[in-house]
Amino acid sequence: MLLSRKKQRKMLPFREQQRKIAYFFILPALISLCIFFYLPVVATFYLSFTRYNILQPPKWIGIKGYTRLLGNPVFWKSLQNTAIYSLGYIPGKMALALLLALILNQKIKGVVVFRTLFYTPEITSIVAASLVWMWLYNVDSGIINFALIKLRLPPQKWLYSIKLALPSITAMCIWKDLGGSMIIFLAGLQRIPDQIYEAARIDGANKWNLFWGMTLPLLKPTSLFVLVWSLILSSQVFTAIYIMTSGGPANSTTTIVHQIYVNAFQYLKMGVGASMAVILFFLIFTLSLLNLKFFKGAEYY
Amino acid sequence: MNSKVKKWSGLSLLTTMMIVVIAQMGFAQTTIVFQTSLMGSKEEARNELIKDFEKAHPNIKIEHRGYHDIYKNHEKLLTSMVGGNPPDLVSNHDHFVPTYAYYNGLEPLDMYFELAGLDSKEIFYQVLLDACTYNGKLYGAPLFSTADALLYNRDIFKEEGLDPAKPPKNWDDLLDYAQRLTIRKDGKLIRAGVELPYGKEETRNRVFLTLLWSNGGKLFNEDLSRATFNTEEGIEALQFYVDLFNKYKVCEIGWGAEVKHGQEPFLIGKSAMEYAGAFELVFINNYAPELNFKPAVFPGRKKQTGPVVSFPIFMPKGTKHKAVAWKFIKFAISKEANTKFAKLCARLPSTKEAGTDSYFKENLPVFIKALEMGTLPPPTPGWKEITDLIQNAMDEALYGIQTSEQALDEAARKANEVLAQY
Repeated sequence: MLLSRKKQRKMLPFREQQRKIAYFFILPALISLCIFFYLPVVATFYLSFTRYNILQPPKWIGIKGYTRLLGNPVFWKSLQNTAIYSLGYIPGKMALALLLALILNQKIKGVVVFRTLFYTPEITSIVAASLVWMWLYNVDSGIINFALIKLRLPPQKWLYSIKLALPSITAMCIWKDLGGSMIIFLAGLQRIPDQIYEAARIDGANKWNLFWGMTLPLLKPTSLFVLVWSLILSSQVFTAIYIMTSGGPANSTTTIVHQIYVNAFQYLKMGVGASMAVILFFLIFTLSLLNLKFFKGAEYY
Repeated sequence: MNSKVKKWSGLSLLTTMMIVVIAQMGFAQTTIVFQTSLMGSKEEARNELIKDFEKAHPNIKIEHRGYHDIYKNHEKLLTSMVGGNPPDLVSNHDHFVPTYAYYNGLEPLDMYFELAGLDSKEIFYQVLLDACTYNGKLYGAPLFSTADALLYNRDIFKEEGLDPAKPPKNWDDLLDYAQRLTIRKDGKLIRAGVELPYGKEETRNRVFLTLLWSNGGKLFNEDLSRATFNTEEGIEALQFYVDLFNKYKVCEIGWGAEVKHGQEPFLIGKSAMEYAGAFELVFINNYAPELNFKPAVFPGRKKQTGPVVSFPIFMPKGTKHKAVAWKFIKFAISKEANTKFAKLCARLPSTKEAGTDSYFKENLPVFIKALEMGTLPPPTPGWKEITDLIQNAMDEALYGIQTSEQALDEAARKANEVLAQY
């Protein structure tokens, strides 16, 4: 500190006043955050121990709500589907986004056009995207089956097939969310100074060494961010499923958030929905913590 | 101020006040909010109904809020009920009525009918009335109804040597005709003998109900405490459905999925027969008016029956303009309005009076018959959950994950848990 302790103490009242003014400025945002975000979260925790049909006051049933839920096979199926979806979505999206970022990081003329094109799906409405992809996947007249037939491959039932429905939706979501991760990877790549690569090349490193030994490790903080973000997104997948398959043939595409919606708003079982939301919260929380631990020390590179 | 200015200012003030008061009287309107799912094929009918009512009642204005998706309508109603400002009138699928009534969210209408000197049992078809009654009280006024039928293409019948005046009358005939009318080339389906609903279509559940009931089966026992659709009749019904897809291959999953209006397989001659609701008639009228087809009662095994669906108008509790809202209901069930509404959306009227109109006897005799013989799913608040269980069982059997018996047994077991809650 450039100021002596004595002078710091003299400044205290002014700092105090500044702090008070600062709080005053953020108070409106803080209040609305509390009302529309934190309060519902607390309410959800409370409701998860009740039976609540929205039209009548909640009835406390304690831990029974959770035990009944854990005995419901559809709940476990939805968790399983969410896990399968995530295992396809996260690596798929990260790998493709990184690949695109590497390709589009070069200083070629018009590269910005491609960056824009790949980012565009991210900003389209998920509803519109779902509808369009439903046409692509259409069994009789969809362009994907049309291409398969032309290539003399058997056409598939896509969204009407038990095995393919979830992968079909996964592919659509990867396509849609690719752009955002690509931009983040691009930013991460551009923070790596060129001199490092030059120095490595002088030392005799080839392209593979450069990538595995330098680029990837230096991208660790960026990758961590994309990973945690993708994890949170993938565990909350809902809209695509609601529109494209409604939980899909024989519950093969229902995910946990879809089950929350169906139980809370269609069956009027808000308590069940709240319990599922709480379980989901702890799952994402734990996985995020694990991720942070795994990537510990990344920022010290 | 001199007296002349005083006089003029006083006069102009008085005039202004009088104008304001008269204008007020002219604008002394009540506006009631009417929230419906009367969209798509029912949109014209709904617009005309509202227009005619406003013409007959110049002081009442109707603000309409429409939602295509019946569950969106349901969601909005729920949130507005909780928020304390529900719409004055709602029209939605009849299976929501027991749910809202069970949770005390609706205003019983018996009193209004009594005070107006109307006997609901005389006015409406019994089967529609049953759907709106819960615990002995009437909670909704049926507006129109629809039934399902077998639509068949007479030209295709003639081509294949079948008598176009003799549609199939039982399951064996249905299978036989369907097999004769199906065309496959190298295994690929070119023309479906009979198109049955699958996936998440609205009619999908109803086709199981038709097969179950026409085989003599029942959904639940008398007091709605136990599911009975996994009896032998139910298993036979589901197995017949599954066999039509998988064994006899007269229809296919994915056939005609998500096509543009006007491209439905039946409309373009790619399906010889189909299970459809009355709404199909509107689409045929609009997109394929030259189609030479006829509706027939869907073939039953032991008896002819099918599900009847209605969209009643009901009054949420806690609204401010109950008397005015009742006026609208009374108007909508009057012979003229009820007949006009049904005609404009190719549906069936809800009142017996309107049903006597020759138009329905000529053009929709099959549907009138269905209305008379029809059965309605029993009113239980857990209906959506049970519907989903049945749909899931149909999927499991159709995709070969479980046998029909296993699938229905599992669904019945879970349905019993649902019923136990109410």
